[in-house]
Amino acid sequence: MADAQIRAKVNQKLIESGEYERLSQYLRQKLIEDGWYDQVTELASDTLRAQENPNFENLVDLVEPEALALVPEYVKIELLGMIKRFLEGIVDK
Amino acid sequence: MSTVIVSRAPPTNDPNTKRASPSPRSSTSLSSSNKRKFSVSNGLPDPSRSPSVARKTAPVESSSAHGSQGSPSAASSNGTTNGENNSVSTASDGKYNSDSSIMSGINMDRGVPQHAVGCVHVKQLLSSPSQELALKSYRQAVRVALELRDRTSDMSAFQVRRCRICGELLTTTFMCLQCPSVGCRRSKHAEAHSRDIGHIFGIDSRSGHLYCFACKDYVYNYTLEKIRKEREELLEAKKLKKRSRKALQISADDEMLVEQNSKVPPCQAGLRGFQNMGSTCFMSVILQSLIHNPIIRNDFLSGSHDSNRCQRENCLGCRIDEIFAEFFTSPTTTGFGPALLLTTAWKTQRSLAGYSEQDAHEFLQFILDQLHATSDAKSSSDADYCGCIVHRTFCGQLQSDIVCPNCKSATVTIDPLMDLSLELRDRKSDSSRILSLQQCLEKFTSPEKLETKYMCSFCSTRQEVTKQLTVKRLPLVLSIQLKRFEHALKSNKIDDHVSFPMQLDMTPYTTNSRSKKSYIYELFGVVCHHGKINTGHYTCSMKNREGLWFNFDDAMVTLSSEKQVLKSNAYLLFYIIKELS
Repeated sequence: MADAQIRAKVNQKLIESGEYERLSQYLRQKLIEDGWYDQVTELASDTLRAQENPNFENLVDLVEPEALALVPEYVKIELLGMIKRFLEGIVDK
Repeated sequence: MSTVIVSRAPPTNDPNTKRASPSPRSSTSLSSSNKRKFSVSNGLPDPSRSPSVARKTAPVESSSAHGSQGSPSAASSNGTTNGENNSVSTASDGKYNSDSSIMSGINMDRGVPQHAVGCVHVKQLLSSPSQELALKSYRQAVRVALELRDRTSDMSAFQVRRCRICGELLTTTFMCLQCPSVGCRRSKHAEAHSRDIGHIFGIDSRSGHLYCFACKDYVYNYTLEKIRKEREELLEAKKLKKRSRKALQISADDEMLVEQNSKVPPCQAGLRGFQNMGSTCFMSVILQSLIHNPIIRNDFLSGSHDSNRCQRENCLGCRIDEIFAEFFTSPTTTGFGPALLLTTAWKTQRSLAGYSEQDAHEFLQFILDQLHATSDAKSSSDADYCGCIVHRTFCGQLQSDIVCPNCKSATVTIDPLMDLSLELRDRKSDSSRILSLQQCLEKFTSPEKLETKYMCSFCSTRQEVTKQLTVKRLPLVLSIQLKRFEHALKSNKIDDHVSFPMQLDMTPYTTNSRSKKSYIYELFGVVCHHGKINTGHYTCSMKNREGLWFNFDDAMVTLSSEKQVLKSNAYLLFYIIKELS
């Protein structure tokens, strides 16, 4: 199957099984616990205060890279593991 | 410094079990209203004309902090700096809101002020002949976005929101206001559409907020926000049971009555210092702790002690009520001189008269006692079950277990608990080491062998009994005193830093610590003492409704931060339960 088709099927399974929602909630939870939300909020506040012409696009450009970098490794690994397990579960052997 | 409001907990997306049946904004319905010609200038307007709307005033200078007090730039409330509209919404709208925290859960989204136009482009659109069409399209789009948002396992919901250029489903997209186009943010497809076709307005397909590609920002226009909020509230209401839904509906007459007869609180309401009227800083800090105590504050602001009707003489309840009224309705930001409160306090307790520095903790106990005494809601003389706001807020229960080592019988006593006074050192082991707050609590609740022998009533022998204190019932607000003042042979003050957390889990110190419930508390106030034991100065740090920390030094109020607060040498700590289960 073409790449795009596989992707579409995976997305469908992901969403309809409720796994996407579960993964999202889990990620959200882990990021709160880790304090990531607080860190990024502070970063965004500080960045905004320093901007002369604040707007959303500038804010995202400045904050997004660092916010992504601040995500702890173990969270990334855990999530990847969960996604991998899900994929293994839906692929025909 | 712009007042960017931050809140704590992230979005919670409760799956909606009662599915609303949306009318998806399909392509067919849109192309039927083909005459989508908005008389906005074709192509992108000059972005340099969009006003810079950062509100740069510090929160203490209240004039333009909320953007609604006459400063011209505040008229176009910029999405990123609009403090009111941010994170304090109670609906789960995908923002980092505080659904589950009592600190800001009680706060309500006040929406944008009436003159908020969003940006110059929206203003233009809504004053053009196309405004009706624009409003209609916006209303439709918002309905789609919000109704689809709750359908988290529905593929078709994601399909409607997908980017029409790259087909991405799991990413932020914008629905064009003027045509059926939907583009993603990540790969800049929505931006490309705005550039190539000239449709500069996008509607966030999850939150319904309007994005202006000319301003490169989310923009909040009063009329549009009203539409969005109405839909959001409608959907939230649908989720509740019919009975409670009825309670939410308010008639137009009632609404008008409320609007005409209420006063909008000034910006940063409740944020004000106290003038020092001669070593009265010990009072100021305690008063601030009451003003920033969400439960006490809400009770007084709801009018539970009406100083106009109260008949008591020298009523401290009235004085506190007056202070709340003053702080939350007067636009002044200069320090408040609590002269009337002082005289009332002096008349009630002579020892407070005079100009010597007193202990803040003692004053706290005094004022709570007085608020109980002057409360109309106080019930039994039994503190445990008194219905006054003071007891309902601060009163817990402390259990004392005395175990006889001989016959193992236990005597259990339960006493009311209004605050915890903790020793800072472990006398038994290393008496020079200062413990952390958690260690102090641990020490407080660990079994201790009493030195003097007691007669056991069960086995009738004199024994060295073991005593253990545990918290049987936790209060809503936990006030902790760190015993920094030693009155041994020589009066001494322990000035060392005692570390304490922003969030405190009290479970290990409760009587049934084996229960799976977790009792998490959130810090909202810290009182510090500076100087020597008899001469000194009190300051405090308090957290406001929006999660911002402020430092209070008599009449001087400054913006602080979590980091700074955690570094301070606390004397009194105020924690509030994080979630009301």
